[in-house]
Amino acid sequence: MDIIVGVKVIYEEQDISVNASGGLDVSSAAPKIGQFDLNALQAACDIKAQIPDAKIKALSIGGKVLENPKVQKDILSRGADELYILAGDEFANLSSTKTAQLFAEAARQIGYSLIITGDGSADVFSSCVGLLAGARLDIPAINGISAIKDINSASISVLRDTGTLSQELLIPLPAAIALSSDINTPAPPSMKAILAASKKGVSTLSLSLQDSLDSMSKPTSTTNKQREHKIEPDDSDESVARFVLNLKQALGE
Amino acid sequence: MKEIFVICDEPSKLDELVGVANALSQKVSVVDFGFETSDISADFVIKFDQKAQMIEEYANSIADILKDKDALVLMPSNRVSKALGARLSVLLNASIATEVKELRLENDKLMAKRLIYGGVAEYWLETDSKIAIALLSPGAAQKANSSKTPVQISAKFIAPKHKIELLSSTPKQKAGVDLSSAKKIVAIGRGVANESDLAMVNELCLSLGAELGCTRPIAESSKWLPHERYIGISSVMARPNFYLAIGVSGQIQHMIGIKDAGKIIAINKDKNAPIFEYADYGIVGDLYKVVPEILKAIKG
Repeated sequence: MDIIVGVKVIYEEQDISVNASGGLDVSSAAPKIGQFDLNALQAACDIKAQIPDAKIKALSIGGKVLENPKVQKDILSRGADELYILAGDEFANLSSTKTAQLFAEAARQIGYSLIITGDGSADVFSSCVGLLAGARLDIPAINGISAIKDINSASISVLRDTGTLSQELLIPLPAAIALSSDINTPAPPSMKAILAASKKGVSTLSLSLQDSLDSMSKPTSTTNKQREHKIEPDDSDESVARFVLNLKQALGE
Repeated sequence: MKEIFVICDEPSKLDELVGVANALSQKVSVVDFGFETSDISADFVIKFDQKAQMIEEYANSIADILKDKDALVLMPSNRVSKALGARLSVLLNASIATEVKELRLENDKLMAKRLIYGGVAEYWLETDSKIAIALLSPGAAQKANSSKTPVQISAKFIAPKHKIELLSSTPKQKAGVDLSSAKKIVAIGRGVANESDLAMVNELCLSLGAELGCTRPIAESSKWLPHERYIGISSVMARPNFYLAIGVSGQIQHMIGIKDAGKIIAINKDKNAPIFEYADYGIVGDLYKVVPEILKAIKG
């Protein structure tokens, strides 16, 4: 069973700064795997624990940051057997429809029985690339998967949380599933897995966009509400008293 | 002028979407999924001749109605709409924008404002497709009042090519709380060491008349509180007048959920915790010393 896991590499949010023109500066921010994609890698590992001959193929589309060996090793140390990347400036900051078009084409090339994506990417959180890719591949595609109950070569039995309903579904394979972020708690990679990662293969895909349905403007920083920033530096009795006074003021008392 | 189709699986979101549709266009159609639509102010209400088990199964049927239209589809931003909307997007070669914070129609082109990096920045998605699909967050566009009496249209149900079997479906047990409309919230994060400390925090909530919220790890890893109480990008977006964060570090994914709060107050023992950058008032200190002092002061 070939399992494709969608992995988006994003930047450490706390280190993103705003430049003078209001644009985002990520030059000091470290790349990392989006937090919801860690759930997808973990879910694939959990399936592999049941079906040992399953092969986990991580697929990542994005800017040249994907060529960073540290980023690649991080993905491969979290259970992926193989990593496929589509990297280049033209693939950074794509809309969901464009990413899905490339994702579906990549999936066709590398082969799959199951496609797993997270709840959404941790940067734009559109939560629809896996669903769009599944629709493009003309396979069942469903989201909100909160538990995988059983899987065999023909189907996968899951629990789904729609937000208002708890559903139990039987999905014929091949299929694309997007997870609910509470499906699992991703385990940190073991030392053995980190060492093994450097021996695994990274394949570079060559694809180009065919259709363009939309375009994205350059991101600009949002204006945050002005805050008072009255922070007591310690919890001495005097500081606590001042803090409590401010808190009561905020309550309108 | 674009014709607008409202496709809404959540009865509570229907009024707002229809109001937005009427503000944007004079031709509004609403797809009827079987809940009360008799008082809807639209030009047409479309009902299928067969009821599907899952809303997502209507994709081919809806696509068949829309295929030759110059249309904008409005949906709520939830999981069912994302699954249905994605299938429609591919069937109709239509652009799709989810979690839309602001929506405009400019020269009949959909412009959708979305957030990036949990609200650090925003961008506009401009669509070039004849049909565009927008999944709206509450308050994304102006509504218009109107009093139309819709013409009922019957349409043919077309079964999906691939059948996902629905084995069971039960309404979710809600936590009985809607944090998105709470005026006062006390939220806890990983700085709260033990589940038994919830008793102290609950007592504080009771004294303040506040609802209890939490960060993602408290709901999803520790599972001390239900998902409905988790504030952040993938869950509740709240706008309280008063927000007290106890042991919350201030990760962006959480802070986006309360960025528009009236006053943000933080207690954290780590002076470098990002929460202090967002706070009006804060204290670098031990929550087990500070919280009892607040309780004492509030109770007088």
